[in-house]
Amino acid sequence: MKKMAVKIEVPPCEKCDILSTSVFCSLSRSEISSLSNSKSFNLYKKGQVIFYEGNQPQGLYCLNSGKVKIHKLGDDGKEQIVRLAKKGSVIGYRALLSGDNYYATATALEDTLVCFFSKSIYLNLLMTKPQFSMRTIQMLASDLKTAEQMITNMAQKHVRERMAAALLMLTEFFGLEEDASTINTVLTREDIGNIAGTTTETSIRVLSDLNLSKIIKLNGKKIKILNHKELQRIANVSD
Amino acid sequence: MTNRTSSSEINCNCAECWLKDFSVFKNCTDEVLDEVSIHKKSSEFSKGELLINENEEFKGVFCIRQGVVKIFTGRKKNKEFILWFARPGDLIGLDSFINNENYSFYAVAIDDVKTCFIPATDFKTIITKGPAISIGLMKDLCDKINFIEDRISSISQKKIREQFAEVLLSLSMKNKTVADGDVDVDFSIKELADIIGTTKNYLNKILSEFSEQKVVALNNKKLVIKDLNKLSLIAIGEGSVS
Repeated sequence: MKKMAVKIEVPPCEKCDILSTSVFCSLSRSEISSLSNSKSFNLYKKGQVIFYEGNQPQGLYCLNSGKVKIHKLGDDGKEQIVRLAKKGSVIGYRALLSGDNYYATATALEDTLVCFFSKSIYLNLLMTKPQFSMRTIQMLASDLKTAEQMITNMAQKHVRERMAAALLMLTEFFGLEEDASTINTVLTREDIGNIAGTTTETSIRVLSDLNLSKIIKLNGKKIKILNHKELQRIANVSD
Repeated sequence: MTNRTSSSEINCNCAECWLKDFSVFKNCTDEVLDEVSIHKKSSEFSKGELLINENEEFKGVFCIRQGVVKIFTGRKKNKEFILWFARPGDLIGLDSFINNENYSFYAVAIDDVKTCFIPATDFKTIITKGPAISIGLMKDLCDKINFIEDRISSISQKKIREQFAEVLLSLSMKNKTVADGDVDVDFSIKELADIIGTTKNYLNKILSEFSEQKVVALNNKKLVIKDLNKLSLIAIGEGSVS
């Protein structure tokens, strides 16, 4: 029997369970519902690109479910992940703010539902709602902090420390599964290497080394944290 | 240690400042700028003087009027890392203010510096005064993120040779230059290899190339940088060794 594609209903913003923590939290109910009426909604399959580095931004993407990686491509084709996004994250807003083209590419790490708001709606909110623009400024400041921590790690930490830090970052960002020890994501070894700023080969080598020392347990693509304290010690997180 | 300047300087008017258009206050109304002018304090720092200590409680933002300020982290762990250089028109401390936390970096004057200081509470009132200032702040933060993310991407794209040069440079920043212009590196080859994620043998191979070109030298197993300029060129992929 042929499998039928199911048409997905657009979830209204006012009923969204992540509204209170999203960038739109300061808007009134009526503003939210008019926002909701003007948005569009899409499903991106795992591996599908949401926007490409160098393209012109048309609007703002807000993740309704799923996970996305934001990555830059180097001249020699090496990818570097600069940020991750999950349910409730907005992506692509920086290019809208500065009027430049996208600085990076966004790719779905798993099947991801995304709400889309047009550029004019977004810029209008920014100009007319001070609380909304303050929230945007906060998001920027927090992104800046993440980026600064990342570059400091990359310039100064050993590859093993960076890999441990990448695993801790993933744990904190995506959370754990029901068993309270498996990281709630399926990233490839290459992806993890691209977060830590190392090659796929080194990524595989360090992960299997951590697996041997029983600090983590590799189970296919899933990674289980066995010894969180030891991982923290390796990552050299003192603060 | 901060020397307050004469009263005439304290009252310098932001609306008339030639740096205004290069700062977050671009497009702000005169009313907003007057508010800034009233509340700010002028101060001067001599070369090497500390403006901000890492983890110090946030007390306000500095706007640079003259000179260059080095913004860096990690001095305590003896692993200094330069985030950026603040130049005239730049604002220091904006991110700490927005994240509502202590300063997360050091700021040191690298030449004679003049600043306007806006205290925390006053800055809080100022940024609520209309969209122009918000847009200015957003633009400033966007530029900084772009700058850092470009560096993240380039650091991971570099060939081992370029990465090695980059790491040597970043380590050399914290060390005092000895009389003849050489810089000591207090890290072993093994440690440097670990930082980059390569092997000691491979790094030794690059090192012998570097010493042939007189970029570095090994004195009693101690690594010394002989030619910072050449090293900088290699770090950006423009210095040919062979």
